[in-house]
Amino acid sequence: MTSGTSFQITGYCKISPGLVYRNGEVVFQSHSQSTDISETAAEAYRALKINYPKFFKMDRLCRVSYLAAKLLLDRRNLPLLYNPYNVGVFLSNTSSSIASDLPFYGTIRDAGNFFPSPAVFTYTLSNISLGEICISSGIKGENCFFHHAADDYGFFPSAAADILHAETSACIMGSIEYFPPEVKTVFPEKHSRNHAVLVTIEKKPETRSGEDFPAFTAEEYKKIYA
Amino acid sequence: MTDVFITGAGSISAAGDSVDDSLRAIRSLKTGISPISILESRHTGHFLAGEIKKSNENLAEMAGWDFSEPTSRTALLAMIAAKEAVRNIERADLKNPRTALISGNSVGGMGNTEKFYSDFRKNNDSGHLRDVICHECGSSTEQTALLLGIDGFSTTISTACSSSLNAILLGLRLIRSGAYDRVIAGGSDGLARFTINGFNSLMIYSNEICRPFSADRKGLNLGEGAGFVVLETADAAGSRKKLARVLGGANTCDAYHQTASSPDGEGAYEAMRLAMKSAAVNSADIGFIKAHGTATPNNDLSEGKAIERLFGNEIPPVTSTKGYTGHTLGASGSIEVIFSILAAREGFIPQNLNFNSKMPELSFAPHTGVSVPATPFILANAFGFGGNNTSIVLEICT
Amino acid sequence: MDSKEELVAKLKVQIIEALKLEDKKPEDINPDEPLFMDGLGLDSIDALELIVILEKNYGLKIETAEEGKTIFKTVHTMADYIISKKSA
Repeated sequence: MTSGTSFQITGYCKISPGLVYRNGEVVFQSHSQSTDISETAAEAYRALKINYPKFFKMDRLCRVSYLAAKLLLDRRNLPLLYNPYNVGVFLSNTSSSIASDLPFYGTIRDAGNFFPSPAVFTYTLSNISLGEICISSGIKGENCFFHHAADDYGFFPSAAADILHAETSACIMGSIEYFPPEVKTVFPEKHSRNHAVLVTIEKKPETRSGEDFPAFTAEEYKKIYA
Repeated sequence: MTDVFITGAGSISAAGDSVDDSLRAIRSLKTGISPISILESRHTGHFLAGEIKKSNENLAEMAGWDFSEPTSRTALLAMIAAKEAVRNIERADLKNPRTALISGNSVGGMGNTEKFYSDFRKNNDSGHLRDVICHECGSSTEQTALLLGIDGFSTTISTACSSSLNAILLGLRLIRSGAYDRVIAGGSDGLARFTINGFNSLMIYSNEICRPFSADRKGLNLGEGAGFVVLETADAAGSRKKLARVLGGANTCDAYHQTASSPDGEGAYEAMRLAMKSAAVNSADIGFIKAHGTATPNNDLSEGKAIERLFGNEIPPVTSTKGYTGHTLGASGSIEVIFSILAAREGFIPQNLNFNSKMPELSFAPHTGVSVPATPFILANAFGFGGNNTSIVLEICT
Repeated sequence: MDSKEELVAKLKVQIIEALKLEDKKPEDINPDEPLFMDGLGLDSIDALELIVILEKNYGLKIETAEEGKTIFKTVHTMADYIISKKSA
């Protein structure tokens, strides 16, 4: 596919167990021993004094996506810099919405304790994370969630030029992988792959002097991923 | 801009096992919604759904899939519809790296997993892990690619109820960008206890057959099925008949609520408006609107309001086909686009079933009765949870 | 059978847990404050979860969201409803 060289990476945010990292700087470092990135996200939310009353209603996958997106938008407020309908959100993962699929199933599994939870069911779709980012930020442009069999950080850089509408001027793109601790006994290696890596990409970003944004290519994206 | 044509279609749903079957059902106003009987659930026998009255084993036979190989109902439905869609394409052309597959679904292999898991919880030695290895949504795409012999690029879109329409929109863009000459695009979803209970917990599941755009609508009925289309350039199509042209489309986010649509349908309005803009058509050009029309109080009002704002006093016929199939979730976009094309090519607009009375909040009632589309242009909508709104514009080819 | 005060105390805990109001403590919830719109600012999905609370913890089934509107006005109206059904 044609490459995404018409976009530039204007920011990135990474969340790994105990650490939140933005544009080369540590934004939050946890003092707890938690290896769960959704707990890291919640701790960071509190430590950074972010005020979003709906944060704790979100499921674990969405808390991570929300936080990463919020930190990016604090630096590059895309829906303000551009027409909100020309700003998109594209995420991918291999874990889908397992973070809520399992808990929801827990509410319908046993005939004797059968109480399907509407709030949990709402999150049994990975693309709700796109919705949460848009609801909180006012982004209204095209949005899509892709499922891959394996980590494919080459996908978005190579696909950006092909899959985006010509008028989409900026996007949040990336991967939010969240396997909950509950799967550890069956898939021990999967939980250790949890991560969030999001970037903001813009076609013609305004730059302050000294700012030099790299092109959105697989090599540059890989540097951030690693 | 490259012309992108639909030259093949395949579908399976409660309305019929093939496109011909489905056309018969739409023509004869026959609903496929009935009490659940195949799915084993506490709701069996009384919940209404667009259930395909075939076991997974039957479906495997229809698909030509070795049932001893692990798979899921969602995957089997996808294989059946995709196979029908590509029946006029040589296997060598499907294998060509210039052919891609894009599939959308939301349920994945949940139908198997939920059966396995309840036994597994009671006794860790029971059940077969083979029943859950096809759980994730991408597995359905992989197996469809394997069956069809598609070696090139494939991907899985999961945006809830707009998944398969997004697959078609993505296919359009990939061909226009020059990346591919042919894209098999669509989606599937099988019925599962997971989704039936989930939608019921949201109190939007009706205990009657659904009534889209009717004042007395009480909610949706779930359905299951799959729909795939072949998108091609004229060159790639060769002598294959061009059924319709995909002129354009758009996707937006309502950015209002996780599951409810905004009262004025802002996201839907913009998706439709931008779709028509990208297709270079005006509202007066549209022959009919294939609405999302789930029959929930919220969707039909929100979508109805958006249509009114966009079309003003000149609203074309608006129809929902969910009365024939139920809401097939991830598959709904592609199945319903196929129904629209089939009907329009035969010179009629699919009737909106079970309509009783006009919604007091809207100026229009949905299309009932018989009429010929006034123009060859169709606007098709699919709106998913998460506020994912997609709209595409098609032109029927003569 | 709990007294009304005990019931109100229980409900507050159940509401906080079921609706994931992690930054709220029971003493933060005024039992006469509207649960929806202003006050706690709950939404439509929260309303459905309140229906689950009633069924799960008190065996009371609410059939429609409409019925819920008067019952779920405040924590006190929820308690009154439970008491009225239990003594019936």
